[in-house]
Amino acid sequence: MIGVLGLLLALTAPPDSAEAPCPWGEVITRAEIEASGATTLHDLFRLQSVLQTLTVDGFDRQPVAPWGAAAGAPVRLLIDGAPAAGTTSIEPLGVETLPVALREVARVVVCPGPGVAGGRFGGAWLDVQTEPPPSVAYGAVSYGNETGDPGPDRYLRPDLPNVDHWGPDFEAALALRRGPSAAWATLRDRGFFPTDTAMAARVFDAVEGFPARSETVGAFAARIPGTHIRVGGVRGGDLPYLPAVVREVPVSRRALGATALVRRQRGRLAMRGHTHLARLSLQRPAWSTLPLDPAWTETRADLALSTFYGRGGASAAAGASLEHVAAEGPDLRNGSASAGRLWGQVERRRPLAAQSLTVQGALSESGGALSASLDARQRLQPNLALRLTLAAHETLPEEMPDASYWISRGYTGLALDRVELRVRQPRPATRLLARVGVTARLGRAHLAAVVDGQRTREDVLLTRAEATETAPAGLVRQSLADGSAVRGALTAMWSRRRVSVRASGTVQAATGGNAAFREVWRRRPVAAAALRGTIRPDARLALWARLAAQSATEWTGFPTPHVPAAVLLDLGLSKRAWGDRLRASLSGRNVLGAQEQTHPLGATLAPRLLIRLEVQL
Amino acid sequence: MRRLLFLLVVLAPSAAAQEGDWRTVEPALGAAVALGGGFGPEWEAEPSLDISAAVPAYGGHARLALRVGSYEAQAPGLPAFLAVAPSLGWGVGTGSGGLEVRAGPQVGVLHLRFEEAAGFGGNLQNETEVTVGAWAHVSLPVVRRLRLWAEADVRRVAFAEPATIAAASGGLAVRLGTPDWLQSLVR
Repeated sequence: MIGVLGLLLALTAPPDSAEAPCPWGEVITRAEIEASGATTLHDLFRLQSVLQTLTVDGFDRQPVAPWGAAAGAPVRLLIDGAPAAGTTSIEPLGVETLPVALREVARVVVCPGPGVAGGRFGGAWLDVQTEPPPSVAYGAVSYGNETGDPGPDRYLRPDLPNVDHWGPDFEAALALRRGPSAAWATLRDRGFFPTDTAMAARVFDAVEGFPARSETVGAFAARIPGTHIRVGGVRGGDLPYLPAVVREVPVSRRALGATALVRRQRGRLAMRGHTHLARLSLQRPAWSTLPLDPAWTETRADLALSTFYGRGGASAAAGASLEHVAAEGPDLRNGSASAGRLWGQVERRRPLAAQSLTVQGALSESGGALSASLDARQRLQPNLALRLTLAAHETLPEEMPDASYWISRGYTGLALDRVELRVRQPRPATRLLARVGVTARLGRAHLAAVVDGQRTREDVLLTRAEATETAPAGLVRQSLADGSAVRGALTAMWSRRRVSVRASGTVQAATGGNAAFREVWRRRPVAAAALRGTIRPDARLALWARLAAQSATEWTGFPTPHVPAAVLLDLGLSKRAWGDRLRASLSGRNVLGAQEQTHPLGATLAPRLLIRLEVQL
Repeated sequence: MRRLLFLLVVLAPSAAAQEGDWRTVEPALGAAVALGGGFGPEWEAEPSLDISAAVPAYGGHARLALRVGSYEAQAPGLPAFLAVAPSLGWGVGTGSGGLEVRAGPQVGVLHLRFEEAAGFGGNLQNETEVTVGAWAHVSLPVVRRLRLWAEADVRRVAFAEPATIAAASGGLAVRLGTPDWLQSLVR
């Protein structure tokens, strides 16, 4: 019986990366990205079970960390282990603005944390690890359509709404290689028309003409041994949902950033450093009809250095980082936020056991913060291992400033008459975590079971809104969420030559805390499970399927607070041809037609079909 | 639609690569007539053009098909429209004495391009929607490589008010050895 169970259950390969080791996370591989028929970066979230995601319109998804109180608990976005920026700090995090193309993605490490990544110790992160496109020239076009268009009936029943569609999207790349060095440039053009009935009134009220989210993302990357450089930019007209105003806001988006990552090895000593500079802005476009102009500009600078020394069964690492944000916006009194950190880590490894201790001190104008983590691993039997993590993490407001941070400093660019904002200077967030996990290998199967408990104290934004004809009106106020929660997760994988299957399940719930904490945790699904698998009839054809279920969530304070449970079936087909120069993919998402919704003001995404055609020469 | 998707999932594991895959290609040309369903009494389907190409693949036959036809408005003030329906299908079959029968599922899109309609100037001039369906195909050798074929197919169009389109079609096909360059292209 155990053997049968072992064949059915498994664990992914250890998702470590040189830049961001992550023992508790998952890896999304290039092979699965292609098999799934993914056409967008945010679709990759369907290939992982670590992070919950939120989307109002379906264009992009905001990752939510598994620990922490806030429904939008911050997740760090990294490219090749270094910070990356595409969205400003006054809007929810998104991945579609990252300066990276889908074709560049070699794998994605999705990590719940805690750990050291991007030059600092902290909570969850998502690391997009890139590789140069394998060919000199690459081009792709993709298109997606949600079902439910009126068809000819629109001439008989004008009340029938139009439905969302994606694209046509374009992606192109040029790459040059010489020995171990490579340089490449990519361009990604994205478009989305958000016309779902759940938000049609809001978006049509906010724009002149037809509502669209369109952006062009470009990047140039160069890689010589030990050095990575990436320069990227975003430009477009966008319509993101901003929680502070409880609606979609038309913006003209501009972003330009550069990252340099350097690694050096001298005997047993390894050194690593990165610098990241970015300038991002959101302005009111001419096609906006809202009396609202974010008039927002921010400049980010990030510098980090770290060293690693290993000898025998022991190693030590230490690092320092400095982050600075300089922002400009209407009535903003002080647009400067800086934070510095020092961290150290010691690790001892023996044949059957390892322990590590990480300590970080952070300093900003709000004061100081101390974080620490203890990690212990013990191999109990050749195929059975135990792991324990204890962590205490404190985040200063200046480390990840968000809309409420800037509003507390006087910023009025997001002020609307119909929405009252009550925000004060956020306090440091504290999180305590205890996690224990078991991993086992049974033949071809891997299994991991993890249980963690957490205690959190942090500021969150809570909404009390009432429905109006167009957009909700009401109150958005900052509250202190203080409480504890538990979470259990089971992950399993089994694979043979042509078939791989992965199953995961998560149960989580608040066990105590104040009203704000419990309210935020009701926004999270208590239970989620997913089963996904790939069949490869030959080396060039892949058939992929994912069956996922998620329990209902409650969003107190919204006009329709109940977000229903859903069972989603996704299908993917990918076929390579012409000696791998050509790839066509066909994917269906939510093909059973469940009510796919993650936010009470959001779209209920209907079944959709996406097609992608790639040529590389 | 759910049954068809279930069928797809169940059939997928049996779709292993075979030795004879891609060795022949069968381009076909024909005409189709609507059998029923459609978009209501306001529009009437004209005979449409069918173009397809089928190849043995993964234990059955894969095929790309394109159907192009027009719908004439039956009420004043409504626009006529052109319907373009590309589809991708795969099916299994059997044969005896030259007679071959195949059937399977298909997925595609239906693209409609409307003529200008008085009073609807503000509307977009096209619509695109997903289709899922099934097809059954029978063919007989006529002379040498030429084959006579007939087919029935049904598609469910996922409009807000889902529509079902059924059609019968027939025509001629030629069974050719797939040129090496084409085999290397599609393999």
